[in-house]
Amino acid sequence: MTDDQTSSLHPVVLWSAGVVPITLVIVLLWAWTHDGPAVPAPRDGGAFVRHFIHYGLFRGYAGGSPQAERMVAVPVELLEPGDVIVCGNPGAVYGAWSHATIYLGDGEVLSQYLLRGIGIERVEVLAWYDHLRVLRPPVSAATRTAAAMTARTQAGGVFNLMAHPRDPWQLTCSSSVDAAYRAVGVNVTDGRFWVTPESLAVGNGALVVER
Amino acid sequence: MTSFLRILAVAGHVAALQLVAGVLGWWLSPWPWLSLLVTALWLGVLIMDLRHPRFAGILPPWQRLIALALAQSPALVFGAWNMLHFCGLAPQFELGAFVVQLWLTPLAPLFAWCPAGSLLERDLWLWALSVAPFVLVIGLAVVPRRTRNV
Repeated sequence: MTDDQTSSLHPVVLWSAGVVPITLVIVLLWAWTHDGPAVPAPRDGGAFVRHFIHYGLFRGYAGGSPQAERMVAVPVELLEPGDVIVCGNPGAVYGAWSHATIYLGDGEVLSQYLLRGIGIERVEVLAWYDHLRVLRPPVSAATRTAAAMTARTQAGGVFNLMAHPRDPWQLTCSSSVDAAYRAVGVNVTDGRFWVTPESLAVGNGALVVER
Repeated sequence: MTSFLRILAVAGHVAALQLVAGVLGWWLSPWPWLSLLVTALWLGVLIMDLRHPRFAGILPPWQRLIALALAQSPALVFGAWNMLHFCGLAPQFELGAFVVQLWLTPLAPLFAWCPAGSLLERDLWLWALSVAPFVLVIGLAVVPRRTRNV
C-alpha cells in the first residue's frame, strides 16, 4: 500500500457517510408532510410510523395531555385477574387509547415506563388517565389467571417503545399484554401487525366497564 | 482531505453501519437469536473497519475517538442524562430515553441478558442501556490499528 492510498479513505466510507443524514432528512420531510388529524391514529404500518414521528416527536403528543379535573375513577371492585385495561388522555398520538395493561390481582397491574422498565404498581395509578376501558377476554377464569401470572413474570424485563410486536425479549405496554395471553394460547388483539392499545381496545374481550 | 472531513466521514460511516444493523436487527427480533447474530456481525464489521488502513484505521486514536463520539452523540448525551436522572441530579426526560433506545437498537438484544436486580431503584438493564454508548465509544477507540499491509 502506498502513502497516497493510506492518506485517503476508501470510497465505501465516503459514500456510506452520506446515508444517515440523507435518510434522516427523507424521514423527517416524509413525517412533516403529514397533515392528517391527530386523533385517531392511522392503523396501517407506514402511516402509523409517520403519525408517531409527526405528532409524538415533533409535537410532543405521545401520551396525550392529562387533565387533573378529569381523572378517572378506577373500578377496582369490578376487576378480575387477567382483565385487559386500556386507558388514554386527550390528544394521545396512538389514538383514543394511549396505554394498555393487565390486572394482576390484589389491586396490582403491570406497569411499563421508559425510565422504569416493566414492573408492578397499584391499579389506582391509572386514575391519572382521562378515560379507561376494562375488557375481559372470552376464556375461563383459570386461563385469565394464568395470563396474569405470566404477566407477573415480565416484571424486571426490558421495555422498549419501539419493540417489534413479536419480539419476545423486549416489550411495549400493549405487546406485554398480548404476549401474556399468547403464552396461554389466546389472541386478545384485532389481529393487526402493530399491537397498540387501540388494537386491544377493539379486540375480542367482553366490555366490563368504560369510564 | 482534511482531518475534519475525515472525522466527519468516518462518523457518518459508523452511523450508517449502525442504521443498517438496527433496521435488520429490528426485523429479525421475533427470532432474537438471529437479532443477536446481527449484533455480533455489526460489532465485528465495525472493529474490522476501525482497524483497516483504508477505513477508520487511517485516523490517529484521538481522531477515531472524536469520530466515534460524534457517531454516538445522541446516545451519549441522553445516556448521560438518564444516569444523572437516576442519581436525582436531573429531571426525567422521556424523549431522551427514547432516543437512547432508538440509537442503540443494534445492541437491544444484549439488554435482555442483563442480570436481574436494581441500583438506585432502577433495573440494571436501564443502567446498562445508559452506560452502553460510553463503553462502545471507549472500547472501539482503543481497538489497535492493524499493522500489516493489505
